[in-house]
Amino acid sequence: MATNDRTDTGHVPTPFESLVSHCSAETMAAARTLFAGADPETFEEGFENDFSRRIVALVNQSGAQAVSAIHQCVAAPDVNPDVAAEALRWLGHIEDAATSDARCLVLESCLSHPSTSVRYGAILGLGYLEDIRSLPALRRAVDGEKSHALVSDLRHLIAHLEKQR
Amino acid sequence: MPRYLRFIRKSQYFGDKWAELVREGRLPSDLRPDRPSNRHLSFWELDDRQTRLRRIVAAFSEVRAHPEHVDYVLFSAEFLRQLGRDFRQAPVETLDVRAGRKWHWELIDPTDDGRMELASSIRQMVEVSGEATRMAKSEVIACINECRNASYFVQEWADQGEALRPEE
Repeated sequence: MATNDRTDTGHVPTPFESLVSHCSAETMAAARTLFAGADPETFEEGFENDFSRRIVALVNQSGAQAVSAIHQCVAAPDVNPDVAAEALRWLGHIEDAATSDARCLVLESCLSHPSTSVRYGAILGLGYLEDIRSLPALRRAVDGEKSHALVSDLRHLIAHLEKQR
Repeated sequence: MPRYLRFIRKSQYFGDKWAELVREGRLPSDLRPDRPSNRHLSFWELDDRQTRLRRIVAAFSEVRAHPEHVDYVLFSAEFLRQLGRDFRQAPVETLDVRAGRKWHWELIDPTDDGRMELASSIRQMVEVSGEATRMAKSEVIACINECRNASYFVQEWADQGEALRPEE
């Protein structure tokens, strides 16, 4: 099984790389355009906005490739933290079993993002996904988290997921 | 002694966002006026045992396009009265008529300094003292369903001015 996943260079992709690392130039360009045109002033909890609708549409259209493209946009050093956080919130909201593993991995990877706002978006997204497989990543995040508010949110989410086991 | 609940957008109070707002002299987006017709800010009166909390969360969430988590903080009336021209009960239309008529309060014409003081206080509760409270999305949905099942959401009462059901 692992042999089939081995690349030409002999590198064995991690589960994260296998699920998240591939996207077409077209999908990447679409995601970059979305992020560049987003207006954080229109973001409000409990309501959709043009950016969120287009994020959802991109994932519905391009599946895991879109998740990969969104991940790369969020990880870019010049990303607007509010836009990145909104994208992560909606990655959690999307109801699509085919991409749920990839979305979960992207959200978990963003728990260590340098921006508090982006980490907050990742916590919210994981809260919407409600996948108990995230518990180990959430516990690790508590140990490394410096924001008092986010520690509280992480503990709240961990307690919530543990109730569902 | 009653406490007054304000729903907040927690992300506005984190270190990096807060620093950006202070640098640009802007208020957190959740402290802009709640209604276009005035500059007042909404609060909800909680009783000591917080028995109204779930109805208030449901009434607040029912106007959203879809249910999400809520974050909130609590204040005393004494603190809020310092921040504006008045702090008073102010009926508002909600699907839960009792909640809107009896438990909704407004901080009237908060000054710019008052808004900043409120923002600083929320920031303190979010990032330092940990007094901001979250209710998860699934719990919010449970609150809404409880209120629906108990027939607290009856818009016709508001339209026709009928008597409210006795509080349970």
